[in-house]
Amino acid sequence: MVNFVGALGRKTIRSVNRLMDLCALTYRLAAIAVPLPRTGRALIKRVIVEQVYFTAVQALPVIIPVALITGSMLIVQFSQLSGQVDLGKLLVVRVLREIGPLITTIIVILRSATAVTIEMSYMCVLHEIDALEMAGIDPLHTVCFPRLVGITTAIVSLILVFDLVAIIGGYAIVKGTTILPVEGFFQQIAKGVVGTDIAVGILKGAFFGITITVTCLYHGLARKNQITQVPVATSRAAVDCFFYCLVINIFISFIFYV
Amino acid sequence: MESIPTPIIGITDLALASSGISSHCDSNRLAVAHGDVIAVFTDSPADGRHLLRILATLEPPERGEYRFNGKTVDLKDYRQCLAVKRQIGYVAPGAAMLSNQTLRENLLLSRFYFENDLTIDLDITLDSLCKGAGLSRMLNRRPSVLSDGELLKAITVREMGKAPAVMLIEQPENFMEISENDNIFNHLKYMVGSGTAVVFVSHNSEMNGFANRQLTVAGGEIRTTSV
Repeated sequence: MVNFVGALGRKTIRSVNRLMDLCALTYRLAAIAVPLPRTGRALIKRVIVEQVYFTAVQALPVIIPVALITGSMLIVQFSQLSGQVDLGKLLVVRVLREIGPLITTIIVILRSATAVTIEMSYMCVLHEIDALEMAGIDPLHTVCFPRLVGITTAIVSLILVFDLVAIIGGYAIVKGTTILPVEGFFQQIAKGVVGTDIAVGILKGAFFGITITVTCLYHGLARKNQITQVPVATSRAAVDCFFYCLVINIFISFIFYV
Repeated sequence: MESIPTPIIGITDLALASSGISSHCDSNRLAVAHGDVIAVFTDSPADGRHLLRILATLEPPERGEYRFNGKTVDLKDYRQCLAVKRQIGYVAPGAAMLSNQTLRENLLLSRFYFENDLTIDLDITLDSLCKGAGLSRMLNRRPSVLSDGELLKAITVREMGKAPAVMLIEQPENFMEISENDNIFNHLKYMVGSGTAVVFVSHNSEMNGFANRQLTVAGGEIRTTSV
């Protein structure tokens, strides 16, 4: 019993320490932005653009089909309830508030979060971080901060793309391929959407982006001596990202809708 | 009374412990001054590498206060070390280039960052060093395509391009010819002539003959002797 309590206590302390480290890293990165230093601005901007390209533009061929499938699937399912519930309102509630941000985040975690953790880990193990420091360059400025801005921007943009494609594309697919009753769909959507739904989607995207980036950077930049520690860090980062995003999702939904 | 010039690097009360044995400096202070060419001799290769990494502020010593140009540097605060690192050239098998950038971008990274200038033209010094090292045709390729020797040459060119106050080099004979025919070696001599200090670990007698001081880490002692 004593051992169990001791182990539980140690695990709790480790978890709290890790959360505090993540908060400290977030603070350090946020502090870089206000004001953005003149030194290195051109390089930082270039890395941000590259990160947006890798995370957002290159993810479009994945996001768009997933959004189409999800949107049409939801419309098909909800149209069965036609007459009993408001189809447009239901879609707005499901897609804009929950499914859009969550599925987008899962795709970003699978594609980019793991990639960033691996990249950071390799940079540590192969002394590339040392190489940056030997040039007098702060890795937080040129490696971490651009990824924070790039991934956060990318997630917010991808959530908007997902929402639009799921609703409009899903409707087009159902309308074009089935005889299900989806009349007045857009009028219902127009009635159903309120500013809060869109704001909450964007807010969730911003928080997810910050959480994913900071978690990946934290795991990636943790001290490593061997390549074999890289997959362990990547796996932990992906699981942590997913868990933290779920918690944040519930938290934001509670604030706005309960 | 003539004042003693401030050394570039001074470590007081230095103690190392890389190969399990703690080594202490026989004098109160280990100093690297302008124009010094110091050959490091150690019992184990790990000690030599560790010493160079300490001088480069990449690792803290077991004990000792690090000063750069007379100012104390807290080696635990990496941000304080950045300005120091920028003035130190570090060439060792453990040194790296950024693998997701081309060789040219690696060479220009400092300019990209500190001058906000993203143009990709090499300055005259870098250009001539690249030509001399046979790296010109590889400038637009990633470091992963370079052989180990070429990579170390490229790292040397990058570090020399910083115009550092101190060059730290491990096993220079592995990637440069210690003769008048080698452009990189000639540039190193030119740098020494213009006041740059060089600290190196080498098994090459010609390279060791280039030194004007010797630093020996053996039997738990760190001793410096003039040649």
